[in-house]
Amino acid sequence: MRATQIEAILTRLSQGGVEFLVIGGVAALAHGSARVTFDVDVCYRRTRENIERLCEALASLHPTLRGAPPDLPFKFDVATVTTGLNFTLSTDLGDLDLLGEVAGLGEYTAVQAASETLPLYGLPMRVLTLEGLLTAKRAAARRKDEEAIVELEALLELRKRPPE
Amino acid sequence: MTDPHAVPLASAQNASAVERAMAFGVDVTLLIENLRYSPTERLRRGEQVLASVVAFKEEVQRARQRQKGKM
Repeated sequence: MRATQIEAILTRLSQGGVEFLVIGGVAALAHGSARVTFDVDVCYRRTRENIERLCEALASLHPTLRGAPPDLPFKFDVATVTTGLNFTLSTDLGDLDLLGEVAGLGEYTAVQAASETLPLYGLPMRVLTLEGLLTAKRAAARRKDEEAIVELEALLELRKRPPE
Repeated sequence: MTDPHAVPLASAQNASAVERAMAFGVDVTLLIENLRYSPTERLRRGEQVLASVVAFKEEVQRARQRQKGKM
């Protein structure tokens, strides 16, 4: 196992002109979560042009399907991404999940509407809001997300409190 | 014997989100600390924690292998 390099992955996507939204554990981290996250989750716009940019930005990172048998044929290219929707990948920079749609929110445009621009690593990046994260986590209704939901609700409340 | 620090279930619904988180076992002091940093600093700190966790896991694995080798 290797630590995922969040900065390297996000800056590569951003500088590659990929239209993407930071979601999941990294978005929660950016909002103040104290939970360790092992992968980077992003929602990507599913247009032909954007999928081309996405594939180009990630090509040199040798993406493979995480957890799949090594002999399973997989080529990360425009045809594959167009045919599929959500991909859980291992890359040279760590684990990266690409989502075409997010539970509770929908496709890129709906997720974008629930996101805000945050300056990350000196670049403006769209990040799912705390409220958006809560909607997605509640919709997923996974037992493992119970603590995350409670934490996100606390963060939301703490942010509304006047500074001490 | 009851835990004097436990939040009674009856009051959990009326509790604030922070109180509910504390009752759930979330370390709220970490959240308050994180909110003092910028989003980028929070991510960098998260990456450092992750790197430490991964390094620790690897060390545990190596120690187990060394122990196996001795047996």
